[in-house]
Amino acid sequence: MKTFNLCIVLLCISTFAFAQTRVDIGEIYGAQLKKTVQTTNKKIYRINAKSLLNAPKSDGNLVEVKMTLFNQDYDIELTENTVLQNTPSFYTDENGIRHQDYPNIKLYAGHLKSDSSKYVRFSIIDERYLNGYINVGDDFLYLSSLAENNGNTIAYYGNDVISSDSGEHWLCGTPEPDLVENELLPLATELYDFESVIRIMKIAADADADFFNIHGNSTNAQILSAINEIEGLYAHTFNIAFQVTNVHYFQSANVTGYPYTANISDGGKVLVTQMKNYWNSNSSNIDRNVAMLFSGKSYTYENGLSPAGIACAIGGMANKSTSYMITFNRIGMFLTTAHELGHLCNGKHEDCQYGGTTTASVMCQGTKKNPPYFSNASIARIGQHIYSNNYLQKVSVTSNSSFVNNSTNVTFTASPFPAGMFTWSGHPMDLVSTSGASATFKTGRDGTSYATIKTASGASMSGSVYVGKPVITIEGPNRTPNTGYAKYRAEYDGRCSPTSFEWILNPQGNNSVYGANTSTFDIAFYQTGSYQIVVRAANKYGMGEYTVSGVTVYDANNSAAMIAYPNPANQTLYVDFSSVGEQQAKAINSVPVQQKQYDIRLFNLQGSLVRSVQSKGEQISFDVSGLPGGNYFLHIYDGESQKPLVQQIVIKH
Amino acid sequence: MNVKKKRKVMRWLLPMLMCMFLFVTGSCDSNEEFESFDGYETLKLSEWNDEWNQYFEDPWIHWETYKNQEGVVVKTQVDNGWYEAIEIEIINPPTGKRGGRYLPININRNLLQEGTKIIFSGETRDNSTLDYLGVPLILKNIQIKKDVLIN
Repeated sequence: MKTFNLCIVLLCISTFAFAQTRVDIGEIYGAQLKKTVQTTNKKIYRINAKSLLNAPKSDGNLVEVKMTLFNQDYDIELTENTVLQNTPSFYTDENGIRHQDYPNIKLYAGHLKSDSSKYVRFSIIDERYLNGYINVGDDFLYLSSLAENNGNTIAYYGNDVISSDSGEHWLCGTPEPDLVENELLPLATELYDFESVIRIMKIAADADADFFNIHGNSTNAQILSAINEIEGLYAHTFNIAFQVTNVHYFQSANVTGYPYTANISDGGKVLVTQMKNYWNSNSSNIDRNVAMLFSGKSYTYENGLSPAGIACAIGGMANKSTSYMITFNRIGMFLTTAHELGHLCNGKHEDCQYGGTTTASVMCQGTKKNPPYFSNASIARIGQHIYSNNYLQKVSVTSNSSFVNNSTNVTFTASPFPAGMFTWSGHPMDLVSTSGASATFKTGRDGTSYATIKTASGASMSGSVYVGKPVITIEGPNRTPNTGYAKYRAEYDGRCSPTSFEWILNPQGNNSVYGANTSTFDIAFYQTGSYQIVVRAANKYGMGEYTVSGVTVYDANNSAAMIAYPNPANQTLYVDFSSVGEQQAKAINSVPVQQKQYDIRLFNLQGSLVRSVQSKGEQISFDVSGLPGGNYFLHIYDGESQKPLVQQIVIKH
Repeated sequence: MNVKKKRKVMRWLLPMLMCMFLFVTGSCDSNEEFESFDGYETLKLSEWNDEWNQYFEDPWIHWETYKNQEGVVVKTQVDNGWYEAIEIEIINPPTGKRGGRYLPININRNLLQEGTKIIFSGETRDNSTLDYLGVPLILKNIQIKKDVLIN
């Protein structure tokens, strides 16, 4: 019997393991590389890309894989980035004839299973060459497989690239706290509507014959691979989804009308002008926010200066006629491309510093390795430009009804809805069906319910519907003096359309109440004590209720009585110096409360010290749950007055 | 004064005023004097090449100015190791000054040996839209530790 049980367990484990595929990876020693990356530490692997390509897909096309790199297991969830994968692709042959191209590429977007903020991007070209990165927290682990290296994969961490400057010596600009303090930039955390709206950036990409000479028939695949990698950065920073509307390359420079003839000894000034002129006159019909050129040209000045990329104009994306950029081929060129794209969205070198530290970020200039983060200053400046100039298409999610009962079907529609770009999920609603740009959900719980669209890249946004009876909370003070009014307000989603309200003060005592049948409730407290406030609201689907207990009303004439609450206390006693107001603070003394040191002691009726706390600041709390119920005296010393403030405290369990 | 005469005066007055302005603002650096440091020897800068004028034209802009700044000569792998560049890395930049590595433009880089300490004055330039692997440093003066001077 035991053996049978063990078999069942093993069967379960093997069934569970079947959902996750281990990518076949073997380390190679002594491999000769024609093209490499200078790092302090790198490993060469033979990765069987087919083990990823053939991994089983769960519902929603999810692929779960385990990869072991640098002796570390990475559990990764991936989905195919079909929007980029299905980009209309073309090439112009050596006779100048344009053909449709069918790049052999699979693009994946996802994240570590343990943390969705640690995003992952992979591409597999020609069913063999795996490229991409894993965000491992404070660094990226890069994988680079090249045909020149016989398909072997170079794996390395960004921080180990020795061609870069050390962390302390980035060519950084003005520290971002200075930019914020001088009000040049808003705080990155106050970034407009980026969290609630997906924006779509439409990209048209081209490659010159020099780029084709390096990458051959995989040229379009290489471009899409780079764009897939950049999208991870922009999706997780700005909630932007990419849509490549056209990708194309030239097989030869010797065709009539070939536009990219300039060399780049001038840094690429002429080349970008050629690109601009060509696209403005020949490709105005291609729907795009930006046109990118991937170039295989290279040039190194005698002094070592070498062009890496070009943006037509800082902030150039605001105008289609100036929204052009060029990236010159190299390993890790996606970061240069992300950098130039940042320029077109107003990103500047001087904002490159990351997170108030000396660490570099994407917009750093001159560095040999840009780390894949935008600084907060870059985020603020780029975000402001995108938001203010409104050049990216915003997605909207709307429902066919704003207010429904429970167990009702509601249909949401996303617009625009490029094929395959979004997947739907509901909370707390169940997805019933999807059809084109719409999805139908069955509602399941009172309150606001959300239908969320998410791209493979991780950009997401939601639409909502209100369901059923009112779900309410109370906004108002939990401590108040026994003078004047205390105002309470019912908080609720306006779409639930309450038809009636009822407020209860318990006990009402000698206090006066006003507005007991409206959404706001005023109480003139005359009597100290502890109170309960209840609000009920009804709509056509029923009645909702919310209760707040332990509202403390203190004696306004006894400054000590204002300091500790709740009274009676059960678990935790709070001593709050900030909320007593200026007048009460003066009663202790005139030094600002934030700077004062307090000595707080709690005595029982026998005069024994039962708790003692020292505090500097506006508020402290301490645990009284272990003390027997009864009366106590709280002594508060401010370190200057000889005599403490005393407040009687009741502990009640 | 008639218009013709006025133009004639302007022809010499304007350049003279320009030169006076540049002299006052310190950009006429040919006579600029630099402090000598014990144990250091001044290196001769290269003759000015007109190609380098581009660094002072649009879209190049001022990035940072250094005076008697300590640095060290470093070899930088460029473009993931395709070639090496000789750069100057700033040591302990004063508060408010940017650190970094810069490509010295107007000096024979064969005179700069990796790991050598230097003291230099000069200006670095940034190009806001053309991105390079490397940021140019236009030297006004460079002194190198005497015992490592290479002939």
